[in-house]
Amino acid sequence: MALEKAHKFFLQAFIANGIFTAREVHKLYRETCERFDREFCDRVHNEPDLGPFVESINMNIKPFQLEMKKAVDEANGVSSFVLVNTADNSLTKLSSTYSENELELFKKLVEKIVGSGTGSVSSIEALNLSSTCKMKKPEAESFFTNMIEHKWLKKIPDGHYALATRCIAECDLYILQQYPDDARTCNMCCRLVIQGESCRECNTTIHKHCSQRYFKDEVVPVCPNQACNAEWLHRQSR
Amino acid sequence: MADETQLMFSQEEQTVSKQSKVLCQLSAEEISKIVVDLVRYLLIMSQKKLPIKRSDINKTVLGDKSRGFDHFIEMAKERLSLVFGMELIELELNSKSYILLSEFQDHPYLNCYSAGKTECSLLMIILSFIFMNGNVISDNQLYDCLRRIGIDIEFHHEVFGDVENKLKKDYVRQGYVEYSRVVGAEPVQHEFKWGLRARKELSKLKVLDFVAKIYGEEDPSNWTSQWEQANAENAPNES
Ligand SMILES: [Zn+2]
Ligand SMILES: [Zn+2]
Repeated sequence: MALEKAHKFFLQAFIANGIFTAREVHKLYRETCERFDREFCDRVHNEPDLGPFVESINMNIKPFQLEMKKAVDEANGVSSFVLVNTADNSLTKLSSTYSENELELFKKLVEKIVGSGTGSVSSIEALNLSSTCKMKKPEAESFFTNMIEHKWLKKIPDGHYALATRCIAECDLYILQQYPDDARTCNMCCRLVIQGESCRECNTTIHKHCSQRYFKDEVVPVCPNQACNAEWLHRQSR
Repeated sequence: MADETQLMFSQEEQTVSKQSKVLCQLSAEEISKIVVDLVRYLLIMSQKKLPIKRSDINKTVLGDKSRGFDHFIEMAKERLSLVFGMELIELELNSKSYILLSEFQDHPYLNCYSAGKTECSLLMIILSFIFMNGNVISDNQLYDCLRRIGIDIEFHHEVFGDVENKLKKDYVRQGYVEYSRVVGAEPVQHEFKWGLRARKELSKLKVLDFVAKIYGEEDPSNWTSQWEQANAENAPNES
C-alpha cells in the first residue's frame, strides 16, 4: 500500500527530529491532518487514529530497517515515539554524520554509563574518556553537547551524563548484547533498564514507571523476586 | 557525421550492456539489498544538507557494483519519493553530485521556522533580503542591508559567528543560496540568489511572514509587489 502525502510529511518530521513526546506527536498529527485535509479522529471512537496511521508508515519503512516505536523515559515516565534503526549493530550505523573517533568516544561513554551501576557518569569522567579516542577535551565537550541537542544524551540534575530515551530505544539490543554482565533488564517489562530502582538484597531492578504501576496498591512493597522478598525501599531513588 | 552518431550510439550501448551485466549477475534479493543500503545512506547523509558525491556513494555503498550506479540510483530515487516524500536531484546535469530535497514546502519540522534556532533566523534574514530586493541582490547591497541590522560581515558576530563564511560557503553548499559573478560587470561584482533548496523547500509567503515579524509589521500585504509574487507562487500548490 502506497503512502499518502500526510504519511510522508509526518515521517519527515521524524527523520529530522528522531524523537517526539506523545504530546508532540499528537500536535504533529493534528497539524498533518489539517494540512492534508484528513480526518483527525476516527468516526467510531472519536479519538485520533494515530495507531493505524503509524502502522502504515511502519509497514512501508520496515524494508529500510527503520521503525517508529514507543519508548518510555526512564526518569519521568513520559512516553515518546522514536524513529529507530533496526539494522544490526545500530550504534555504529546510528549516524554517519559523526566521525569514527566520535562514535568510539560515544561507545566508551555508553560502556561507562552501563557499567556505572547508577546509570550515569560525571562530566569529568566522561571528558577523561576523550584521550583514549584521540580527541581533545573541548572537542569531546562540544560533541557531547551535540549529542544532547540531538537527544542521544542528557544531563541529569547533578550534572552527570545519562543516556536519553532516544538512545535507549535505538541501542537497547546492542547494549544487552555488548554488555551482558552489566546491562540489566527490568523484572516487570523485561526491557533494558539503565536508571531504575534496584533491590538492596538481590540484583532485581525495575523501571521507575514499572515500579509505580506494580507497587501502586502495595502498603509495604517487597522485592518482586519471590526468592528474595526484601522490602522495596525506594520512591526517592536514583 | 553518420559514423560519429554510430560511434556514439554504440558507446552508449556498451555502457548499458556493462550495466545490465552487473545487474544480471545479481539476484533480485541482492539488488534490493543494495537499494535499501543506498536509500539509508542517502537519508543519513542528507541530514547534513550537503551534496552527496557519486564517488562517495560508490565507495561507501556500491563498491564493486559501481557499474550499476545509474540503475541503482534510479531505483533509490523512486523509493525515496514513494516512501519518504523526498526528491533526489542531481545538482547540475552530469555534476555527479546529488542533493535530497523535501517534497513539502514550508515543512515546519525541517526548516528554520521551527523554534528559535539562531542559525535559521540568519538564513531567513538573508533569504528575505534577496527576495525583497527583487530575487537578486549584489554582494555589497546585501552587506549593507546586514550592516543596518547590526551584522557586519567583516567581524565575527557574537550570535551568528562567521557570517561571511556561512553565506558564501555553508549556505551555498547546502543549496540555500546561489553566489555568482555578475556577467559583464566592471569592476567585478557578485550577486546572491535563492538556491535550489530554498526555491523548493521554502515559500515566498513564509519568508514574507518572517520579514513582517522582524519589522514588526502586522500585515505582509503592505509590500504589494512581493505579496502578489508570493501568492502567485502559492496558488497552484499542493493542498
Ligand atoms: Zn520495565
Ligand atoms: Zn530482591
